Amino acid sequence: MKRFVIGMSLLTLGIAALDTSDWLIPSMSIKSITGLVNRRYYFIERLRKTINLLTRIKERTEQVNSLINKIVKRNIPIFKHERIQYSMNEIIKTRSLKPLFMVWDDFTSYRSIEDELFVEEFTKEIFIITKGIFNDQAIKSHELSAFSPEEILDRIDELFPDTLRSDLTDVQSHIESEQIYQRFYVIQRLFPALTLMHTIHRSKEISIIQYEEKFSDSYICYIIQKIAQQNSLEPLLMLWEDIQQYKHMNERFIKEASLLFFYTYKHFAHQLIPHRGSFDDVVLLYESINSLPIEEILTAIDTIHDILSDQVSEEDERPWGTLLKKHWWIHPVLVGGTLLIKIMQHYGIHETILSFLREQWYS
Amino acid sequence: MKSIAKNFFFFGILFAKFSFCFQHQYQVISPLTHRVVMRYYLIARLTHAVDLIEVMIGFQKHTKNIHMCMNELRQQWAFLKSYRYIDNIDFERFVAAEILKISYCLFHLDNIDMHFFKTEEDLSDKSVDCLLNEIDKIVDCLECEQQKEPAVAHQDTRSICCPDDVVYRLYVIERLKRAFAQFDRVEKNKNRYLIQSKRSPIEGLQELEGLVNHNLIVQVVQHMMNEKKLTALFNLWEEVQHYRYAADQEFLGNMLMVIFGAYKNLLENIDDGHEKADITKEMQAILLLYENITILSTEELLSSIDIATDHLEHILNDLDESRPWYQRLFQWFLP
Repeated sequence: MKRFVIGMSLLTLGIAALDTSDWLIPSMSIKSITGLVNRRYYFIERLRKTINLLTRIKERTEQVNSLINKIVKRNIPIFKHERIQYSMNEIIKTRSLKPLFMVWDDFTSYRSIEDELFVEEFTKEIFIITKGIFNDQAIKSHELSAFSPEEILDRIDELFPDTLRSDLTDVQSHIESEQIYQRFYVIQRLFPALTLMHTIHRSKEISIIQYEEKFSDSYICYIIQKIAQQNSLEPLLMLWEDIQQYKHMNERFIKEASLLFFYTYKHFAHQLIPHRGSFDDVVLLYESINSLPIEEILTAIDTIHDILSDQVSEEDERPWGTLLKKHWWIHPVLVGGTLLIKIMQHYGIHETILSFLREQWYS
Repeated sequence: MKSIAKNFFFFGILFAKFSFCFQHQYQVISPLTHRVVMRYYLIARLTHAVDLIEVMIGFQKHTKNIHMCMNELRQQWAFLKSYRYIDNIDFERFVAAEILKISYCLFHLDNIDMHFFKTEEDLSDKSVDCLLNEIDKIVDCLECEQQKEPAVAHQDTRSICCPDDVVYRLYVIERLKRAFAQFDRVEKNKNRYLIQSKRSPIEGLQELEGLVNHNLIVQVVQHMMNEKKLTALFNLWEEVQHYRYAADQEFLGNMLMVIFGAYKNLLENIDDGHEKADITKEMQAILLLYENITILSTEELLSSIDIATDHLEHILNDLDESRPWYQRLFQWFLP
């Protein structure tokens, strides 16, 4: 009887384990390696902006160099991973961030895919260096140990002065493959519409929309507030950048962001389409869009996009003056190139260079 | 009663073990996610064909009818690329069929069986995979006609792709990108990097011929040896990037073996200014891995290629630094 009870309870436990993974509802499963690739993809997208920013600090002053060295020296004991420890030591030795970028190259090449410690400590390394450079603050070793790599990503974003929000209430400690795929899908669906919106925003004069609708997500409310304050749509484009960087991975946020794009796009169409017969019919269809699922909102944006893209024709032919004004570097390059040739001819080194060029050409 | 209880006990243990293992090894995705991955795969497979069609449309004069079909196709292709109608498999089949029809009209190829479909209904019966296979056949023949070296002749893909295969292919592509960047670097500057007497990175590839079994890879090796060039390998890389044979594990394993073999030979032929008798520690490791190439798993092969790539990159950087300033300036100007 005892065995029977234990057997039954194990059976129930097994069913519960499968049930939590939604095995009993119609869905598909993916291998753990696929999950790891997705996770790495997510980390790369999240960290790309920070790394780009760090690479831009090329002309560093001695002060910044010594600051980096100080931060790195202080934090080496935090790290256990050999590769990260090595890169930290190399940063001190070479007094540059090149070793960090070499680890980034490995990271973006999906190397050590199963090494969770590598992901965790590389994220920490970026956090420590970025925090040191931008905030000049020391980090205590226990400060980071309590956070998962996903949470550290949010803390990295928090460091930048252009981050619109410092509130991290929706931070998630683990991101599922499902969430990454869904964000990827939303980005692909929104991409054509947001590209056109960006073009219109740059090329045409459009009044700023006053949003009458109510939103519950604090970040979306913050964006609306910023749009009103700055009287510009730049915060909306920053929101789009955040979406493309896989930030704020929750369903309510992405739904409200899509709604915000829909209202803005509708406002654009109202201003740009002179005879709005068919467009008004479409808008009527989406009167209660708030209550619709995200898929429907995306379809509504697509519908407006189709109508709007027909109206907006790109200015293909530009006059020479505008082209030269845009590509301002053509003049100095032409003048500089001619001068360089003259100088080389004067010193007689043009023959050596020409022979080298000839050799290259024939090879 | 006792035996039933005993059976329940063992069955319970087994079931619990299985379910926890399942949960550990697999993650669950929704049907929507499955469709998103498969759409990504479809776009990657069709991109090459659509690009070729666009080039052909630009080069030749065509009837109004074809131009109208092309405009329609462009719109459908834009919808497909922006992941619209994600749960509509018929839409995907329709776009693939349109691409196939236009390809038949544009590329008048003699060596293609034009009777794949006789009526419109014939196309609607075919699966997307079947249509993709047919499109690839046309693309291969076209490249063959345009004198592009036919490194990869067509082979029917019988196995059907699943999301795991697509994501794994993405992973392999990302892992190999650096390796091919270095190959490209050497191929473009053969005179500078390779030993004067050889100047061919495929010396010694013969031994690989006996190791690979996959028809396509055997062709690639033979082609590389005949032409004494890496071009066939680059063509193969293009196919990999287009997600062809994504479900074919033998193809993947054999391809990695050839890449590693080519790398080993490249490293042996590189002119790094040292006597070839002094083998470095890295080179020793690479040679040891090469000796055991047949027993290496996919992941181990990828890691071996990584070791070889890092070593080659290091050597090439050293060689570049020792060049005179005007050569470096010239290199800087080159795209």
